[in-house]
Amino acid sequence: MEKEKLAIYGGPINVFYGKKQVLHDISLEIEKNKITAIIGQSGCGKSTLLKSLNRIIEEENGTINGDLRLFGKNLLEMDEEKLRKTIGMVFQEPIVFPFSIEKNMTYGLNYHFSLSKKARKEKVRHYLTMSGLYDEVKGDLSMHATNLSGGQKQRLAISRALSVEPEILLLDEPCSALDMKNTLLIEDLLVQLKEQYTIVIVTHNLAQAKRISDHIIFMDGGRIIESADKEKFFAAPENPLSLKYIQYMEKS
Amino acid sequence: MMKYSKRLGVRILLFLLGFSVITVTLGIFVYVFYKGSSVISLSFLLEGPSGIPIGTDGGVFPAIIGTLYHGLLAGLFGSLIGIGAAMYIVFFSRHRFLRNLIQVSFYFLSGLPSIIFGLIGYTVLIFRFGLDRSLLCASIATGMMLIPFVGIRAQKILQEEGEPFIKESLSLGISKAYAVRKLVLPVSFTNLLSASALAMAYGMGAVAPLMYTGAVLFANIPERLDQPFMSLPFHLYILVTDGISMEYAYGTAFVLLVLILIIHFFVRSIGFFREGGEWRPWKKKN
Repeated sequence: MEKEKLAIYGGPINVFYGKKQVLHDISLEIEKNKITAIIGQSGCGKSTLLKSLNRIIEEENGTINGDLRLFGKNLLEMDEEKLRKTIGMVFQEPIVFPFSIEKNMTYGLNYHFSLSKKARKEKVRHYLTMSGLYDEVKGDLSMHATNLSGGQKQRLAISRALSVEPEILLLDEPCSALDMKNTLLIEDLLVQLKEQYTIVIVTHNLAQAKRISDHIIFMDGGRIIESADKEKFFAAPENPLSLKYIQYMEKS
Repeated sequence: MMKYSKRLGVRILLFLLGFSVITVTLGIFVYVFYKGSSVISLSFLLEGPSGIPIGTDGGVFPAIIGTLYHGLLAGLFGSLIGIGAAMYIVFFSRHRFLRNLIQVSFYFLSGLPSIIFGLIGYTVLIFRFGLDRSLLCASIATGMMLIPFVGIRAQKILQEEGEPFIKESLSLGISKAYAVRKLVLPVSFTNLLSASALAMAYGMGAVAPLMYTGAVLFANIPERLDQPFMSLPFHLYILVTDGISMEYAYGTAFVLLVLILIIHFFVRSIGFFREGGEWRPWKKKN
């Protein structure tokens, strides 16, 4: 694929926790403005791969070797803050800071941008509206964020990640703790967001990957087993292990 | 499977052990208050000790103020080092060996008898550095004793309350130092302040670290850090060991317990005024 169309590409990279290798020879092609779903069984290295993309794994004493390109630059040599501003991340359990909704939103804004009070308020409103949260809290941004429901907290986390203006958004099983209604809300949101952002989502939910993704990366034992467009992956997987996984997941 | 009678026996035994904690606590307070209340008066609280030998008459006012000064300074000293070290090992240390070494030091210090801190304070500060027996020396010696008291608690608080926020902040491209300053400290403020206040209460009751380093039988309220001072627990110790007055000893113990109770009440009430990382917004209703 042409490199101009790719947000992240290259490899291979190898990832270690201490002396233990957890990811082996990972090569990637993450297309711009698409949703790439990383799927696989528990412990296959999906989340580790995601955490390697913004190098948050290094904070957990992980090390990454190799060469991986983010818009042409080696992301392993980039300044960490700059990298993580470009590649935002939302975790499995929604983390909200025990402050008001507004303060949750302005936390990243204040660090990265010098904004007037009015511009800051406008940005807060904009990103909360994007996630559909603004109308739900009826504009009462002084509400304590811990009072929000699970789904609202997750959408606040997404709005906050978007507020620092990333180009790529990583989501680590963002719906696993949510009910069906909130899961669908987040899925709709992600589909809308891909117009402006490149999205990489880790999910154990095959149906979700089928519903929202454009591209699938299937992993097992710390390796990428197959990487293909969604239609091709589900219609005619190349690797027998991929087929076995799809059949197993569809049965269960 | 355990028989019902055995299960019941275990439950009753555990209940009695739990209840014994309440009994011991209440017993101490009721006994001290009962024995000490006879000497409690406005003059006992607001005057200095008098009589021959000194302590048989008058009050404990300089000792109350001295105890508060000493507790505050020692608490501050212990908290600054304890919280700072805890922050380092939780958020900033990338060297496992150093992290483990600090942790082991916390546990080692927490197990040291308090008299050792007094002895080291005396040897180093007074004998080696030539400082006078003073509020400063006593506070440093007691503060060393409080480092693990605050440090171990602070480490737990920061791990539980701070780590997820640090991870989230890093994923927003925010530096650790900024996250600690703007997020972790405001969020953990209540619990860190509680740990420091409890350390202060613990330090206020200590005798061994200050008996060689700064506390004296009689002194006015210290106006400078390099002056000796009176302390309630040391005053109590002298009143009992020199057989001066058991009545006044219980009165002194009464005042010390009330001071410690006030600090505990303060600690319990901090949470009432703060919600999460912010002071409770009384003016707004969400």
